Amino acid sequence: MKIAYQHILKFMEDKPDIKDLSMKLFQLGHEHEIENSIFDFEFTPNRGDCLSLHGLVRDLNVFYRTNLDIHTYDENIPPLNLNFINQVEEQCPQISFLNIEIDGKISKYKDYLEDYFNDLKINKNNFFTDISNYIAYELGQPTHCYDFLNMGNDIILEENSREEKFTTLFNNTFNLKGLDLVFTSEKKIINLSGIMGGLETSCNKQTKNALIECAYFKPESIIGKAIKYNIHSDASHKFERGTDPQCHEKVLRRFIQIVKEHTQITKIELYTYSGPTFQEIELNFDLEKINKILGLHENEDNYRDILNRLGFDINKSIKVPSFRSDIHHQNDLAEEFARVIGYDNIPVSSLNIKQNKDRSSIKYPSQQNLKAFLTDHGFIEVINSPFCSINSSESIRVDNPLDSNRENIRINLTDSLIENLIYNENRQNDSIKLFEISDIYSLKGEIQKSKRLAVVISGRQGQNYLEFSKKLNEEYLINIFKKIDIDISDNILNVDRGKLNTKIKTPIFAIEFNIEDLPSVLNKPAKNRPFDNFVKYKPISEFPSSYRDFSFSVKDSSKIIELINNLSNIDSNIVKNSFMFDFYKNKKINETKIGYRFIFQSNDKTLTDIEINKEIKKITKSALSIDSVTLPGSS
Amino acid sequence: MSSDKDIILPKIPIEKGSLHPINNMKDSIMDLLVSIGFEIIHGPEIETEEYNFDMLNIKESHPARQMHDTFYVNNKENVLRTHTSPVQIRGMLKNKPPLAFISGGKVYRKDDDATHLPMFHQVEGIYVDEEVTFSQLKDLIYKIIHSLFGESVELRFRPSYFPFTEPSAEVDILSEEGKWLEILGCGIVNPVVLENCNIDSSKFSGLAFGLGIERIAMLKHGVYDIREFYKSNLDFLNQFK
Repeated sequence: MKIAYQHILKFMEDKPDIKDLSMKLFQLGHEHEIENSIFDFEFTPNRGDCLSLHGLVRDLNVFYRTNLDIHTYDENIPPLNLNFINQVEEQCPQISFLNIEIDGKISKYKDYLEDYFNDLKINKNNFFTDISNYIAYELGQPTHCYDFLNMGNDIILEENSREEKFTTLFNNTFNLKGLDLVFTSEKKIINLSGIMGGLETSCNKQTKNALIECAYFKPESIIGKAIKYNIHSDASHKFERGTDPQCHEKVLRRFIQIVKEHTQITKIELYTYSGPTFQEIELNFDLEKINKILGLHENEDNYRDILNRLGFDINKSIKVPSFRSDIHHQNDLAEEFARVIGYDNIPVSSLNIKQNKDRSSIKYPSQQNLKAFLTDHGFIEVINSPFCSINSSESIRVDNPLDSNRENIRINLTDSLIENLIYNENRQNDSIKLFEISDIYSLKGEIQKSKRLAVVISGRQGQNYLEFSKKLNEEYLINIFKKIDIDISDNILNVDRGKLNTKIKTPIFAIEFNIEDLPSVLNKPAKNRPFDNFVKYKPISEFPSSYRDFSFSVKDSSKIIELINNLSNIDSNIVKNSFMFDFYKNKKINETKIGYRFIFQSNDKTLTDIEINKEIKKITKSALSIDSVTLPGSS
Repeated sequence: MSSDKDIILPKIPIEKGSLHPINNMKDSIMDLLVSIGFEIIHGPEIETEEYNFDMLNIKESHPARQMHDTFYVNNKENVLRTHTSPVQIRGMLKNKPPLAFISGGKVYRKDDDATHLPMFHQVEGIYVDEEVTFSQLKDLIYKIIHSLFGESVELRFRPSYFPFTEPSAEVDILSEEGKWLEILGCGIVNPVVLENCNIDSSKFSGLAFGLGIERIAMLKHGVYDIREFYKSNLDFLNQFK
């Protein structure tokens, strides 16, 4: 919600500068940003009472001298004879209607009204609606203005379940579905209560006779409706967070006053419906409890002073003001004190956790050790979303999916890993070893959970001269798991590439199994991870990579290390990776062959052959400067 | 017989794999909390509304229930948990204080854009005993933040709102660029929640806290786009060896 700094100052006797005010507002928990002296607040949902100028200043009264006096119409208002039926008293216990008729020209808006529209860049609408909007800003109470002459003979507040078209005052039409609180007149829906009024009975620039509705709706009767119809209004935002059930007379008298300041009023009448009386909340003052919650030793006078300044009525007990629907118990009072004292000013006291000795400490090292084992063997852990399109008889369905591709909860991990594998193959990776550990949920009569490990492999065994030409296969997987006493030989899946969207033919092997009971070899204590070695990530490229292979010959074997060091320490912005894929000594001619692969990739473009060749020249020139190193076949 | 002794075979670099940076961060934080005295407990990702909302004082009418854009599953019989807090509820129902539990894992909200994902990770903790205070909560939070970001990091506590804690706070750290960054939420357990779990709130009080793992991982690793974590791109994951 946007509130202008200058508007706040109008109600303050102290005139803090904007920086000081901002700090105090943060201390009170009112998060905001400031742009051009306008505060943009993100009030917490329990503080509906702050969604107005007055509400905010009321809270600031704990730090500053304020003055919330406003002009209101203070003469007697005759009763309105209105055929109103409230069928939902439980959801709307308090409601008033003001009949107001005007005549003559509407004068230029007074400064306070003009400033509201100008400073907050709000569009004007018509006289009555403009006042209604301003009052919601000033006092926090939404009102709705009907053109009284367009209304029928009755008004009924009811719960509607008919599917019916409704057109809002902004001329949006949609079908009402399910239960909604509505106002009807002569059986036609004229207002989606607490959300937005209808077009037919809305005020316009010609309206001279308006009916102003001022209601208290219980938040639960409004909540969710704005989302349901995708019409977010200031009124629904306020009603959802709770308005003051006892402010209606003041609000309507303020309304009359503002009208009176701009034009001639020829008639005013008031209808008030009052259901069950508002139950004031009274709390005891439990000083010991509050000090215990906060860890403080404050005296009662200090606390009482804070509550007084926040508008609480204190005698023997504490009466919670009607606008504070968020205060129910001592913890709530403790929070009030903590805000005012300042969370940062509450001292720190040492926490020593006492544990119940009857309960042994539960730790799960085996899973951590399994992960450490797999990463030690070159496997990369992935985490996948559980949402998938595949529907099986055991799948749990998502009732409100993000889209049709995410309507089900996956019942295996392997399918996700295969997708990951194809994704990486498409990015020129030819040695892929992935694993994922996750809970899997399925429906077998009831929801069942199992903890699973899945592994997929495909491509070369490694990027080194011993493993480069060996393929990842079944035997490789079996041998890996043998090391930790897990026999997977009967469960390996040779994935059928025919069903996958790929032209690559390299076989894919996968294994997936439950890991609730891991072998004891994994049950040794897991190592704690230090917090000081989190690597800084370098942005990855979305552009394709290219590789070039070189086969160097070295006659003088004492130069091999120098060559390898030289090739391993290439300083280049476009060499993404390099490794030795071949090492072979031809003893007959006493010559060593060294195969080296360089992978080139840029972060900002697709590299051209010219750019790569330029880099290759640099690399080979440096390597060939070493004695006895040649590059057969190159000119 | 020929011998290779005249040349040294080059060493093969150990091609280590990598833990996922989110799991690694989550487990590192859990390790830290275990060293402080917390026990790890687990709970399901598919929850009931009762555990995910009602027991945590998030009533159907509560604005907070609307804040959580919830995925419903299994003909609306269940929800995908929107936070790890229901695990604490299960822990409190099964055990008597003093108790100190942490749980970590995946949580789900119906959100999918550049800064929000439908699946993300949290670690949450709760400590219930006689006379647990906000002052002690601050001590714990200082320990966590100092372990994560160093002793010299500047932090602030801000009043906030969670239905299951009262008073509630959010904790920010001051970045090198001078911007306050929200790191975690915490508070004193709302007595209503203790009573829901059959814990006498006149005798016991509790503290609770929760951290979003992705946010911390983004800050620690310098990752600017949360979506990078879940593309399973080896060029990305290989960096976290």
